[in-house]
Amino acid sequence: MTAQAGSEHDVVIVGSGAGGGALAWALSRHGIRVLLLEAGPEYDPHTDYRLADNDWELTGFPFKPGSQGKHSFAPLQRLEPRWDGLRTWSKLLGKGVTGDRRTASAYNHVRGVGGSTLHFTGEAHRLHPAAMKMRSRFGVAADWPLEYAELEPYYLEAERLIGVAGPAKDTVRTRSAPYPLPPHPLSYASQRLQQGCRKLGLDWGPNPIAALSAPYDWRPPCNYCANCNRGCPRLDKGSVDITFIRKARASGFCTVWPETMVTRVEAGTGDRVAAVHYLDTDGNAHRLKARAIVIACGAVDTPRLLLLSENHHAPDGLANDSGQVGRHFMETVFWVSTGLHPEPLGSHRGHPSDAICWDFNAPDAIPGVIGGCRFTPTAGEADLTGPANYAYRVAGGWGKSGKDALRKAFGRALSIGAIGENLPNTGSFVDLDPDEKDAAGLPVARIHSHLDATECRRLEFMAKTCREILHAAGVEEIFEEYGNYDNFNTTHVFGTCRMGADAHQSVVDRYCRSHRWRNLFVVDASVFPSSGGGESPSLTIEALAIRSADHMRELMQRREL
Amino acid sequence: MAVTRRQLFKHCLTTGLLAWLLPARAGQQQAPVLDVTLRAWLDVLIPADETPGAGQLGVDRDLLKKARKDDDYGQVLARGVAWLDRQARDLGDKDFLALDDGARESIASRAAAAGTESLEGLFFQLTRVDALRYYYIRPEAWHGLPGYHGPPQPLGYLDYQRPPGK
Repeated sequence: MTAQAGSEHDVVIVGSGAGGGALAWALSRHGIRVLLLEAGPEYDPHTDYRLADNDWELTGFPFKPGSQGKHSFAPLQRLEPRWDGLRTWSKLLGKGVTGDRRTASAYNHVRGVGGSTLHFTGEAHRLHPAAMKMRSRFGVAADWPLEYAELEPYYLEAERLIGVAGPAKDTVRTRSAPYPLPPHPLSYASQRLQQGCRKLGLDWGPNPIAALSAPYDWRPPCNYCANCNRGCPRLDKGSVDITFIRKARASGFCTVWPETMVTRVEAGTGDRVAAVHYLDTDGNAHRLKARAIVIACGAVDTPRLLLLSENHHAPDGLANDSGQVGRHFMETVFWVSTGLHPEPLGSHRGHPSDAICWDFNAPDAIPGVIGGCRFTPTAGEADLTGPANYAYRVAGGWGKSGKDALRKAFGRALSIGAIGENLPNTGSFVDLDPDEKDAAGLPVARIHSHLDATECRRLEFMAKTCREILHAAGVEEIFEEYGNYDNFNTTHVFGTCRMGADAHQSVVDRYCRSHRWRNLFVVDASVFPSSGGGESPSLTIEALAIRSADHMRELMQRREL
Repeated sequence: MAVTRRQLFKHCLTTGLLAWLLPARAGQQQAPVLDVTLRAWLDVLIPADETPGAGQLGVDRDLLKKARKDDDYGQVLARGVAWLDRQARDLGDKDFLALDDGARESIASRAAAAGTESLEGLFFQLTRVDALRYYYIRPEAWHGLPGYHGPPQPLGYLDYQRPPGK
């Protein structure tokens, strides 16, 4: 092991996704020296995202070696006949899950410089203010230890840096200034969904998106290719690598080390953590000191790293004096319905999440169920943007009639999806797998996931509303539906290092600082006390990170860090 | 996150179905016979009309390339082709290649109607799905698809607010 007596960096950040990247920018712009350690590789949008190749459709996001962490799943729950309407099915391929137990597909994430924003569609949501007070208002989950109003200026700062395109009005999420860019016009397919929503008395308007609707900050506008999830080669999508991290690097105060795997954070004497231990690209072990250490690995790998960091100063794992590390795991509660529209829509075009219905987003908006949801178009999410997928999932048949069916069906798939709140429960948590190890011989994170009846009832409402909107928009027959009831398949994860005022009930304080270790911070969605009503989390993570950076700077000025 | 052909194949693997369907590694057909018969089979699934057939575009080579990397997949192809020849013999012909188009389509209909718990059903589903995937990445296949003229970049779809072609 290489031992370093000191460090040329003030702050070491582990993980370069939405939290780590935004924090790196927010610190380095003030001359604070930041080292960003990233376990995964760096991506070059121009060469890695192959959306101009003929075979672009055969692969999804181009995962490079090392760009996905390893994790395992504890046995998942038995499926119940009463929720059969929530099972995954396809007219052509049959049931998605044939057994009587919930299966696990994936924790969808990217390990790489920019994290999972590399494959996001770019939704840039602020949380519904009421969704931050779930305990005091509705008796579930936990309250955020800060108010929406405190976060608002940081939301705005993140939106301006990224170049978020959004609507002029938002009566729920009050704004101190407009979005930096006008909203994206709705695609033709989205206009059809809008007609359906209007028939049902629902609002369907522009979705705030981290993709440029006009040139901004040297980057070109979106050209509506609909494949943000495969990585954006134009750089108009505001992934963290080309926004926060690019600017952090330009400051001269931020260094990024990709393919550098942190194996533990060393708890020291007193109330300070002493160093991070990492493996370099050749697998050599090193120890590195810093004034402050920030963990930003996401709600699966952040608790894993803290639990792996147990030593005699932190016998139950780092920052786990409350026993809360890994608990309150929340996942993406989602539903997608897709049907064929009688009219050619060209639904493979446009921004894939260009519109949104917020009508049921408030925590008490769904009749009889606490926790909200929202609806968006999902042709991109459902991967119906090219002929290869259409051919075997939509058109059906074979021979000449199969070819004709595809020519008739292409571009007519109309897809809508919903994402909803996931209330924490005791059956959902992350711990260390006692059996499965990663390449370094360390236990992987094991995901325990359980969906309560409340989640299933919310999913029922989401599925029913998706079907109603599709039919109101003119779809006669739905041909494919899937959700997370029978198959764990999550992208947004939250809650495993909860933020709170009470050190016995949470892991970090309102500034994302460990209650116990005063130079240790956690800056990712693992600090969320509640998931929100389906809002995509990246903008909130970024706003929290910028706010934490301001606090860290104050602490440094006061020589408390 | 959608239902994919990988899920179909994975399902067969995880349920042990594939092992049951493929109890022995011996008795595989000789590669040249497999190649030619597979090509003829794919031309039944994707025949030439105003666009070329699967064989003409070399889709069979893509499937065989995949089979070289995935032994289980190769077994499905080999045993599926053997099943095609058995059906041909039941019809009184020497093998699948000796059949006319109508007889080949009749066998395909039988395979299409079978479930994926049977060899012929699994063979049909896997070869159909993969043939379609490899076929429609070829520019020669795109003629007649409304609003699709090739990969989404670098041009994107600047007409996205209007009906396709308007």
